[in-house]
Amino acid sequence: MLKPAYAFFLAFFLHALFFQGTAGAALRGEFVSTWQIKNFSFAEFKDKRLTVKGLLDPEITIPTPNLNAADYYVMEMSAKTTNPMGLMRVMWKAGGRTRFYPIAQLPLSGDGEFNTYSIDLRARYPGIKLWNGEISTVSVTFSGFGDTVEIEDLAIKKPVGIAEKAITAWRNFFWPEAITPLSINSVSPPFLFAFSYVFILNIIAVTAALAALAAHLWKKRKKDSLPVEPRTGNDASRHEKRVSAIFIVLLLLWAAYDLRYTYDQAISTNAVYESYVRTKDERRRFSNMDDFYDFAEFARAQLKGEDKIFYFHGPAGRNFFAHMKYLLYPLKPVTFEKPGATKVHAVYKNPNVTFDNGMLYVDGNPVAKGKETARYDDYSFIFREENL
Amino acid sequence: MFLDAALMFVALLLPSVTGFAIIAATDKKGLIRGLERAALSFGIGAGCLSFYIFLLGVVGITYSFAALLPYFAAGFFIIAALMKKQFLPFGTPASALGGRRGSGGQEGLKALFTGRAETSPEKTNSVEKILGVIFLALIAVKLFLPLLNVFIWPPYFDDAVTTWDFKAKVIFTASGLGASGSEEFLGGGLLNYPLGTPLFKAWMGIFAGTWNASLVHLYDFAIFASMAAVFYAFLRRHASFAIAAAFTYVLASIPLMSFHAHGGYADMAAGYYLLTSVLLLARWFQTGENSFLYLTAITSAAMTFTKNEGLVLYAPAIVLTFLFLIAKAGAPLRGKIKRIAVPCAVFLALAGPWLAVKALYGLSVGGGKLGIHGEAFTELAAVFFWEEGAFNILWVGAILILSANIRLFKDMTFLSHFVPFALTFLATLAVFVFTSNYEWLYLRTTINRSFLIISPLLVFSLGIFTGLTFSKEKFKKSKRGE
Repeated sequence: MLKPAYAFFLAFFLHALFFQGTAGAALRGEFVSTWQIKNFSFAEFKDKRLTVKGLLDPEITIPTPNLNAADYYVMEMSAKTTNPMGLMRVMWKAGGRTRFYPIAQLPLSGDGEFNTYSIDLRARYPGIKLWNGEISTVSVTFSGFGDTVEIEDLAIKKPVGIAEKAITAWRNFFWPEAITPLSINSVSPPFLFAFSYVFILNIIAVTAALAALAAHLWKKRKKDSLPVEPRTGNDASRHEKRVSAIFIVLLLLWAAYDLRYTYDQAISTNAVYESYVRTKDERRRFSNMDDFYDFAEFARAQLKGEDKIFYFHGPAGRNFFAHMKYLLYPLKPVTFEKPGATKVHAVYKNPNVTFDNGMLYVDGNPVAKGKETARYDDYSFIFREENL
Repeated sequence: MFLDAALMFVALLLPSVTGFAIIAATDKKGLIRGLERAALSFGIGAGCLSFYIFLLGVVGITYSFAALLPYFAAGFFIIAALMKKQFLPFGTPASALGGRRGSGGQEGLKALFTGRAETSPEKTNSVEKILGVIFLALIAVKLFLPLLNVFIWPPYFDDAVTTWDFKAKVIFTASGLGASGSEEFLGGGLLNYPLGTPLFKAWMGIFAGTWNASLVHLYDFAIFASMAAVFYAFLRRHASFAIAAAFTYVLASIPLMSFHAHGGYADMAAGYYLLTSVLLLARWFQTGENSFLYLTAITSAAMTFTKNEGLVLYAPAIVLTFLFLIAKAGAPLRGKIKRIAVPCAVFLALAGPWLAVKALYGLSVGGGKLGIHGEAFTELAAVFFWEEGAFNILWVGAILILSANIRLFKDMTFLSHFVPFALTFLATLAVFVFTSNYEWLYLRTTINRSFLIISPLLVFSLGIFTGLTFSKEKFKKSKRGE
């Protein structure tokens, strides 16, 4: 597990001491029967443990009728996976609208042990509160996940007592930000007690500046009430000290954010190293791409010189086309609309494209006769058309 | 991997030699020295190399190391010629080193390592020295993590694989700009995107003899490191060691910068050229030396060749700043402006072919339907103050710092840097408030990157502002009642 801070030892101790009973949705047999699971190749519920092997982005949707957002707001999950860069994303429906915000996602540990993850879903911005009213469903997506995830406990909980609330806040503050395609456009701040860290620091900065201004005005007023004296160097010195104090406070606040962010950077660099460079099983995985980079290399090796153009059937609902085009250039992927453009098909994690008995099927329809020339995994392979 | 990395490092260094020669040939009084010159050399050399490669492509010459060799040979030739003429290209006049006419370049070579950029006369006490060293250590950490990521990350972000890196790979593979109408034309993809960064990355591939999708991002890191060095060296002229180091740390630790330092986008490079253009323009105002105008013309041209915003938003801001500085300048400086045709010619000579290609093929510079979108302000407030962590507390911090000493808004040293920031900031805001681009605000795909480009300018302005606020020289004067 990604251990957020040394203080966690204390946090875990307090957690064990004060944690109260579970409420809301929980992973129990009667509930699992109502859950929906999508994008999986294998799913089983046995011995109070749900095992899901993903295709890509397996998603579990949990009906939560009459769930009051004000009372139940911490999603807690105990899960095990071997993907060092797994990513969990939580979405929900409130008032008929699907809700999500960037911090409701976090990287999972790939240490092969059961770890507990909790997300405070109340995170809000001024004027915006997305976890609100009555929640009808909660979905958990394991983004870019072809691996197996085992879940022992999944519940929406109501933290009770100050200690538990503090632990939840502390844990959430240290969840590292997940690397997503949006990371280069936008950096989500961590949250502390449902408020963004940047907002908290901004408030402290403004408060400190107002305090300095108030002190300045008070001293000026006091001085104005005294008989007029010529301005001396000491006045300038005092003014400089006050201004210095503001600058130092700002710099400290900046460093406070940067310290937390550098921690994020270090964690994500380490995760990339373990999942993409020095992998335990020689499969390179990266963020929500899963092992796509390995597949691209596999496809490049399989495609022959004359196969300059090939059909690329990527996973449903995800667009890997641009990446395929760049990585394999000057080989050129094209989308499959009708046969004739080329004789080669590269299929990556797409259960809608299957090969059976010498025939390629797309959405259940036979589209070409030929042979499978290489297989990558259960749902990824290279197919070459042959003349009838 | 190791050999590729070594070759790509050399591919970054070689253009720096030519950049160094360009600065030496322009700045004959040696006003740009030491770290300033070293850091600027990479940006100027890389920018001019992209123009040179583009020109070769336009006339249909196939890209190869042999075709590119004249560019680097010219750099070495210029340096050798300057040494022979006794003019030392390393920024320290020969006489100061006791050099004699025709005595070769030994003193100059020595000066490369000993010549130091001018620094603020502010005295630094031991506490400030310790603080400065701590900040330098923090800067090293902020530089190290992106450098590591260059080596371990695959190409990932959307615009990198669809545009910036893709174009570079197409140009590298095709060894040219392709024929009009072909899939390889101007690197394929979106044709209206400027080719500055793709051409430089193509050069890295040409020199290494292979395309490495991760290692070409060494270019991003080089820009990041070069920007930090330029920033520190120029700020040190106006601020104490501790203040210059502190604000360089602030620049290097802007959260969004960490992804752009290895992510394969062009925004940070555009920001680098915008920053250097403004710094050089301000130096022209301070010194009256037209050489700074020539270098401004080069970096501005490189800026327009890096992102379309460089042409439509930032170049006008630089021109307006130039006019503002002329208005504020004394008679001696105005007298020198007669030679304004030279920097204009430099700009057109470099950017002209690209602008001509744009005009010829009707390539857009971006835009959107005009309209007033007041609702954008709510979203902008969220971006600035509570929802985004991309800039730490930069916006609130800037407001508070600038409020601390309002009298400094009369100071031309500060204004010569702050005015271009204010203009580019307003221009960027206008794009999101007065055009249909406001829709992008909600997706957050462009707004932070737009501000990332101008953020180095803001941090630099704040650095100067702080340096002037805490100037002990000024304090002494006020104590003396001057």
